[in-house]
Amino acid sequence: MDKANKNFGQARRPSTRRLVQLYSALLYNAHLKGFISGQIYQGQAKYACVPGLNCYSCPGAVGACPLGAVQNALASAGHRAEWYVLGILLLYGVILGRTVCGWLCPLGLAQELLHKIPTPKIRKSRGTQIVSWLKYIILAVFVVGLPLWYGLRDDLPLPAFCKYICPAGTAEGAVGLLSSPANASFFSMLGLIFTRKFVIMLVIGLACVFCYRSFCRFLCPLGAIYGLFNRFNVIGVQVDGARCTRCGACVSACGMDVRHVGDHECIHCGKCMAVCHPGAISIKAGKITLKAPDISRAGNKQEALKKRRQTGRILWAAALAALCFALLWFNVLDPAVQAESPSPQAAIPAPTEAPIAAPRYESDAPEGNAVGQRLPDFTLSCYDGTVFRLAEQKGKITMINFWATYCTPCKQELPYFNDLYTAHRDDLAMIAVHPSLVLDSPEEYLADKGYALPFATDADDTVLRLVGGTGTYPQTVVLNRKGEVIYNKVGSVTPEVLEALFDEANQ
Amino acid sequence: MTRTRMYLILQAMACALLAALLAASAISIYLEGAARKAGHPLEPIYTREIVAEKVVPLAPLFFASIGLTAAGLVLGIKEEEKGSGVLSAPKPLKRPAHPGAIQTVLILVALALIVAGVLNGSAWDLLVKAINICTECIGLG
Repeated sequence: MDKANKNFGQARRPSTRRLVQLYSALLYNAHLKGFISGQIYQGQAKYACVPGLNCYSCPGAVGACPLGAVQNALASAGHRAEWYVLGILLLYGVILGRTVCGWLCPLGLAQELLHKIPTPKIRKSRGTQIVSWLKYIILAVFVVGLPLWYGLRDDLPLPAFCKYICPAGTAEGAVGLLSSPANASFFSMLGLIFTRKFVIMLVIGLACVFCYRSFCRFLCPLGAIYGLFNRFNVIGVQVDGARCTRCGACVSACGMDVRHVGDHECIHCGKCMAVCHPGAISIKAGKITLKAPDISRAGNKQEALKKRRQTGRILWAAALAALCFALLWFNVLDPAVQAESPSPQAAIPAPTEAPIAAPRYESDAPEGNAVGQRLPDFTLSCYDGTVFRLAEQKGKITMINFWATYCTPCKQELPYFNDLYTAHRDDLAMIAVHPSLVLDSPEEYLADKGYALPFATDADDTVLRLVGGTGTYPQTVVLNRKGEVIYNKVGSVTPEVLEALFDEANQ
Repeated sequence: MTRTRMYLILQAMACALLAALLAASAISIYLEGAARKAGHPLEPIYTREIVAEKVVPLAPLFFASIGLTAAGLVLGIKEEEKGSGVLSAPKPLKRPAHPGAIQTVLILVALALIVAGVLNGSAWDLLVKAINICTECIGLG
């Protein structure tokens, strides 16, 4: 039936591919309650990477981003061989190749929807074919080169693509977290990095309106990786050489910068099947045909069509059941979700011991971790053998810094804390706390740094919960001489900010 | 110029203007905030109030653009489709002679790497980085 003769609903019925794209976007981001609570999912499902580009700092994400994972893996190459991520990427590459881009990438879906905005369009040309090689340069520089360089030279994990370019990180991670009222304090850490990435996201979004899948074609390093497997991936389009008349209609109709159907630029979307009059193109999984050429042209029987539709309905029913279970699991049943505190304030346990009497600096402020409240007492055993007890620091300004060996800005700001501590040692109590999740021994990392400030590991994350931490690093808490919170924020600090905080606490 | 062409150009201008104004808002918030911060290091660059103040005036343009898009999609307005032309010799791409064997070997290698990764702790690395947010890494700052 010609599209012009279809009614309004039929003409706009989403294709199977569009439904699969929507399905995978929802499945990747099944932790819907995260968009309200502003907390990311912290369960075991994040052991697995999803195949498409989906930021794992998105409040909804239930799996790891393959691109973020590979950058972090390369940045940690000096510590251990990161076989796991390489194995996952290889598996996705061999089985799916760039079929991921065409069918299973939320960012691909977003780009296609933006391109639906009716405007004049920029068509592919020799020029766009040349520009499409840019993504291999981005892969080499931002995904492989910079993370390896900084990881091996300075032991600073730098996921350069995430930090400087990734529009998925900005849209899902940054904007996703900022849009929750629970994360209102995150605004205070925004600066040049956010401004730059936000503008890059706008430019990419605008480019996608005019030019089909601009990010995917010109910039996406994940597509570049999967493209390397496109010649021998299991699931994808295949051309029957015997039927092909070499008319070139497929390449002409394709929005991507393909030179041949199935080459490294092909996303296996199957659009070319509609224009292939000899019916030479099909989507296959090995030798099994998943989508055959038009029935009337390929000569299939009506019965085969009926059987295929029936199988399709069963598969969709199973997929919907799986999605319902995923939504239930990742929002209600998962123990990690149940452990999420409704709000950081609610997580404060009752103090275990009465505060030490110190009348001059006694505070009558209520206990809590918000500005103006008195932080409850806690005790931590430091690496140097001393014990840090908050109640014993009254009369001094206290700074608590949460850092982690796997957090680059945390490592970069440690010297600032150390300098301040050294300069005001008599007047300032300070402790740098590593959360319970440990990758590389913090003590080993600190061994040759020569920091004077005390360090401790928060073995059961009691202190992290006390200050309302949610696994976002770095975090800094400053208390005045009465033990009242004057500052409690996540985000990097500069020496100037630390000095200003010290002065403010001193007033 | 046809009505369709006029609509398409109008829509393109609306999209470009909206993106440019959003980018200009972000840059101006940053520049004003950075100037404030230079004098007072604890002063935030972005606040909800400042963002709202800059972005809310763009709402009419945003909704007009959405409305224009919706109208265009309902009426089926789009640029006349032209083929891009054949940009390469259209002979079918040659796949390896025995793709099945290569696929099997690579899948086995991938599975072996995954098992080795679970054993050497690199799977744990992945989980730890995925469940914690490094604010600078996602562009928050």
